[in-house]
Amino acid sequence: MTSSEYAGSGSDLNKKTDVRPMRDFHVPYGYNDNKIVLMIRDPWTLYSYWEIRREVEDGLRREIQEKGLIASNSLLRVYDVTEASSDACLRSEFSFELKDQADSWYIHIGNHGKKWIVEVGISCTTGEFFVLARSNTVEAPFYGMSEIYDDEWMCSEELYYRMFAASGGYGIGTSSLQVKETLERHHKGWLFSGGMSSGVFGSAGLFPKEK
Amino acid sequence: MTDGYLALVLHAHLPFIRHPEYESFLEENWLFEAVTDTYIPLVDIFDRLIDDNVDFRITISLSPTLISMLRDELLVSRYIRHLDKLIRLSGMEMERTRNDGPTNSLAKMYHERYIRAKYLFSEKYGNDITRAFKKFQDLGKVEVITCSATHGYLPLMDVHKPAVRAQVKVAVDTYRSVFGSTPKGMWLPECGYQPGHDKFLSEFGIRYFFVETHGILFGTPRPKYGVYSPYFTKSGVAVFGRDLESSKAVWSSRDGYPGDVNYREYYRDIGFDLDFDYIKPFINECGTRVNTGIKYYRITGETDHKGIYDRDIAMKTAASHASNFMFNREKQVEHLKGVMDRKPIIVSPYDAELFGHWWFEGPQWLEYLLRKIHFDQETVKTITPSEYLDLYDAYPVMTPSMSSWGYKGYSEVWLDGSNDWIYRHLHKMAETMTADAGKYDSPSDVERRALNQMARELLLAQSSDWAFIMKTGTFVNYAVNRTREHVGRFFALHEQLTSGNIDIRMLEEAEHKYNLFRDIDYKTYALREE
Repeated sequence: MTSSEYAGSGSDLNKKTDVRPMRDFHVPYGYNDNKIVLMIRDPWTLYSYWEIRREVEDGLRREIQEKGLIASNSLLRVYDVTEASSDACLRSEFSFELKDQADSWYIHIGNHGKKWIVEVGISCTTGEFFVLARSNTVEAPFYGMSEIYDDEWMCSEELYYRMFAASGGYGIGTSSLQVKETLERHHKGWLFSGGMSSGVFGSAGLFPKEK
Repeated sequence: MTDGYLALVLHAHLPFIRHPEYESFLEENWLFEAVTDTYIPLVDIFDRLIDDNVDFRITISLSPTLISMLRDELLVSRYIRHLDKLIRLSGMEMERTRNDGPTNSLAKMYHERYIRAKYLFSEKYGNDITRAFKKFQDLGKVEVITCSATHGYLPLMDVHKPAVRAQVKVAVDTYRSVFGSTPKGMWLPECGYQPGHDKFLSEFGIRYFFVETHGILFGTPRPKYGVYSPYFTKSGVAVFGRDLESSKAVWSSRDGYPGDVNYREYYRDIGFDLDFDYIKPFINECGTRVNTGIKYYRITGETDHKGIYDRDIAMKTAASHASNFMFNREKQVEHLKGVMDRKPIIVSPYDAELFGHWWFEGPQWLEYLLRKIHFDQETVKTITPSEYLDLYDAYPVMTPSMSSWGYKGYSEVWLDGSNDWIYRHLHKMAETMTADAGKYDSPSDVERRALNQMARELLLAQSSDWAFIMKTGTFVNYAVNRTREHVGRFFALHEQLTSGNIDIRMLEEAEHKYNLFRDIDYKTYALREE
């Protein structure tokens, strides 16, 4: 994308957009939905947003009361469903207490390559959890060398890392062990810093960027 | 004897920006600058190469929004007006700098450049530069491919697959209407791949697409050839991976060629440097200084005291960088020859606008490179992805990993605190569009028009550009306003449709303003049996 804006060493004048008004349209505040959606950002980060209808929440709270329980917190529950064969097998990995009318959340997950769903609901003082909405299932990408290989197109670990070295721009002649160690360092680096260095794997046309 | 292949891929895209409600609009300049700086220079070098019998291959993706703008009567007329102003300004510059030899020769260079641009654009290609690309494709030199309809970032649409499918279908339909055939390849915007999306490409006859390096390296099963061979996905569409080494040479601002001190400095433009009263007729009508495209300085180094640009030295530098690039590809191929049991393909994709717009000498570098590859060696040959797919009887099968070429390799650029608010609206629009497409089997003419316009609004709202701009922090107001406009108009039309009270004036205004995808069929969004 072309950008006149980048000229002139960052002068504020360069950062101006055409400010003349376009017809003003209203973006709905909500859609009167009762749902939660889960998205993948990267191997270790999911993003979820939700909208809960007031009558659904009120109804659930009444149900909790009728059962003689006491509602405590609104929670976002995260489930690893990689191995789950049915709803009965769901085991919560972790939960987040929701405050201040939160309607979205970034979820940092420890393991890449897993399938996830999330639920938003109400927990009780005695530990029971009542679901307001359950999300779609997502599968976060696997990070690293696949353990699966094709018999017809056999690729040993040694060959993989040789090709990785060549493909990744580490330079011809880098040993497979060095490449493997570098990959693991970046993996750990991501976990601690929240992202892979752009130097390993390198965004839109007329804005300056690097890929 | 050819030992390996180089597939150069240029991805050309701009979001659909067209404001007939104003006499001129600042953001329309993005298109004008790209045409003058990048698309016309590329066309010029391809013509020269063909005239000189240089055998070359290059792949260029032209986004459907860009194609639509390049063929739009209003934008074309505004572009010619823009070019005429540049011809006038550069003529004034020749006069103003008549006592300053080096600067004067640069002013002449710009003047001649703009006159030639007008000749190529208007006279030679009849105010439709896409004709040039069609010609190059018909001559077998350039493989023109497409990308998703509005450059929607597909992985973040995955929750509503009909939306992904529609981005692919509308892109293919647009391409067919201009080039008369099905595109062989598709550039997934931002190289954003989500496993399973290849089936939509397969459905519409696409033969191949590209992913970022780790899309292949982390794919399953383990990739025997790294990124130096295509792989077939289960849907039968081939996938090619980006080669980082050759990409880095051009992309890297630190180590890449475009940062050489002899090249032209982008950030010193007479739009900012010259007296306001002198330059006022050539900048934004609101009086905001903007780039004119006329720049007299070279990068020089990390200093504010920039030296004057020397075109001859810059051209020698571009030739030297082309030699270096070719040499490194030869070495790369020779190395890979010892590891692979077939001839490798090195896939080097770049944003087209890097060439000429950001990197002024980029088109000449490309010309030198293609000439050198043709005349000076035999180890490496340029090739298109579809040609490579015809070389061998079989290719390995794999499922690439979800990936993109954005910062950190996944979706963070388009999904972070600055832009995540858009997704609940985009998803709801897709859900509503699918529901309405299923509901209206035999709509009245006006209902059909409203439904089709809703489809356009959805597609336009999905442009990855808006999320990207929100993230990068410049032009944010424009990106936010455009998102609000498309979301707002979509739901207004939906409500009018539901209530049976369609506001014809509003519909006509939208059809007039966003006049792309004229043959769109809202039924594309209807749910289909798997």
